[in-house]
Amino acid sequence: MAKSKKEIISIQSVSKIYNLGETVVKALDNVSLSIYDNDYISIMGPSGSGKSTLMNIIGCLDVPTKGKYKFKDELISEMDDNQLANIRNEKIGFVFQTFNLLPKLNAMQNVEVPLIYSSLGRKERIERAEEALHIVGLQDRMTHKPNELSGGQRQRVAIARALVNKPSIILADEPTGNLDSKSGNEILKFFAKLHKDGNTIIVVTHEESVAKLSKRRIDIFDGKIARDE
Amino acid sequence: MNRIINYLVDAIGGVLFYFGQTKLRTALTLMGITVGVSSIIAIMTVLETFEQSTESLVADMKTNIFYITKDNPVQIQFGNDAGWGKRKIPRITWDEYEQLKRNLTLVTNMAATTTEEPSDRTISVGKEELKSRLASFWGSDGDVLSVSKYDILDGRNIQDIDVENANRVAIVGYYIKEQLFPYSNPVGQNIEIDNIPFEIIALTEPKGELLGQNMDSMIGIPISTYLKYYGGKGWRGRPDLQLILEAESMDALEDATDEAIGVFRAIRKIPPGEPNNFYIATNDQLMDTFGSFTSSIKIFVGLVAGISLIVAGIGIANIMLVSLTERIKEIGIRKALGARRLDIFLQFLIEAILISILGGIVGIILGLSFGNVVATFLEQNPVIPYEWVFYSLQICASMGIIFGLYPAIKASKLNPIDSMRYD
Repeated sequence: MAKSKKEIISIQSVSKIYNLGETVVKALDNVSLSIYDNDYISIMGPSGSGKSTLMNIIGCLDVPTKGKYKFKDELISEMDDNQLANIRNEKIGFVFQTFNLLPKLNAMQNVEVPLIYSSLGRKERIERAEEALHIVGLQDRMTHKPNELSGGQRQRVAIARALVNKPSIILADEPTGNLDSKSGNEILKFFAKLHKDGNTIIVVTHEESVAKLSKRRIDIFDGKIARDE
Repeated sequence: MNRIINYLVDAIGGVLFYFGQTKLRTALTLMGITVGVSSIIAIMTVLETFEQSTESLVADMKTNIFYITKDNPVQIQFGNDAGWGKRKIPRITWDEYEQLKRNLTLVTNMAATTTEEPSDRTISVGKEELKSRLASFWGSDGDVLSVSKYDILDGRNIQDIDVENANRVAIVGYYIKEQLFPYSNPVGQNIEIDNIPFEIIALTEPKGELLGQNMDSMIGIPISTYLKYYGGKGWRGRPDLQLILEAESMDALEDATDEAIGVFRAIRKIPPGEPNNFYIATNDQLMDTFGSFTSSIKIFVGLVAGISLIVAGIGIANIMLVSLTERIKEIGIRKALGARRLDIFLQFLIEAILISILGGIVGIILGLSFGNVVATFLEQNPVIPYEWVFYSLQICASMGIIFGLYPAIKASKLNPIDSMRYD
């Protein structure tokens, strides 16, 4: 691992404990992890291993029960809902398995959504959204609604949406899980290109073929990091 | 600031889209508000037209005039006159009038009138009969024309000698000329009232309509003539007169009415402590009576509309909650992408406000149309009660806020992880 790289994420002894009445579930158990600039990481693990919990914490959708989470210089583990929302908005680009596009908005408007919650003016928003759709090669599908697009195209809209705020990391949760292998491969090629262009990418997956393409692989098992190489 | 504009644009787009998707449901929700607002606006429109008419009536009336009558001439009073209905109220007689005339010092002018409004008497010229009912037939001994602001177009007013001799002379309104003397000047010609011939001595200028009454469908004759021919036997004691009294000025009005009350009580020998058994009022008081009538209608309408708006508001809260559960996933996605609590809160609140205002606007349009149709039917000029249009929009916006608040808070508190998984 190239030590010269700048550390973006520092997770120190993080645990996430769910108290379900009588049983206590340790979804994450004392996990430590560093993520560096321009990393391309895959996080693997069977369902129930805690990889979703780890992703939620990295994605600032959730805060750890114990431990410290630093994103650049900001202490995420101490933040409230609104501060977390701002971090998600400015620093993290999400790509989901089910795309999670808003069905009533067209491609362009979907890509604009994160910008609505930043303080950009309308003109700049449109420019940025168009730019992002260009990057994913959907400049001629901007006014299409999600249900008028193929699965691969929808995921590309979602990637454009993830890129539009120029995030520090791109966090993809099973990005090819709902796609046929051809579209899935296209998306993965695209991730490789994004990585080459200098983006930091974290892919959560259970598919070996997806993990193989990443530069670093983290296996989670029973809430602990089983392998990191 | 940009964020706020973003929400608004986003919310308006969202609301319009959402309405398109759920037309029937939205229409039903809107109906509650629409009914409430349109009933307010309709009633207020009608009342406003009446108020406008009465204002022009007030402007037409002299302010130094007061009346003594048997009953309140504006017969729309609720309550208040405790016991008024139970006691036997004597009619105002000619003798009382003459005694009053001798004893009042602060009154500069005085007239007794008796009025039939409307009058069922047959008005004819030769074989030609007036087809519609005569709106006003009066007898008077004084200058009633100037009091009620009629101007003489041609001819002369009733004079003392006409009253003394009970001359059969008549002043006619312009409508009478139009109907019975379309091609000639009626002054100097004859007209029969219940087959008794009168000489027309004056034609008045057209006045148009007031409170739905055709002011030009009018005939006036000397009071003595009226009493002699239409007042029945022993006329001096019989008929019910209305007395019109004029003080020197508006400032002298109060003293003049006080004096008149005192003298009239003395004439009727009412012991101290007993209430008046007659009605005395200035023009202002008559207008106040009308005002209290309209304001009690307003309160009533306000209550009814208020209740229907509360019901409508509950409808809004309900639809917003339904919309919330339908959109949990959307809220989760928006939150994941960086929407803060306030963003989601405002998105929902703005939607609720837009729904209510939209309902309000439809209600205002319906209310204005309905109110003005009624106003036109009652032969009033159409108006727009701007004040109430403004209030209605305000009420709608507040309703949106009040009833959108709970769903908006609920939406803003959703957790992004769970909401995104919701289907």
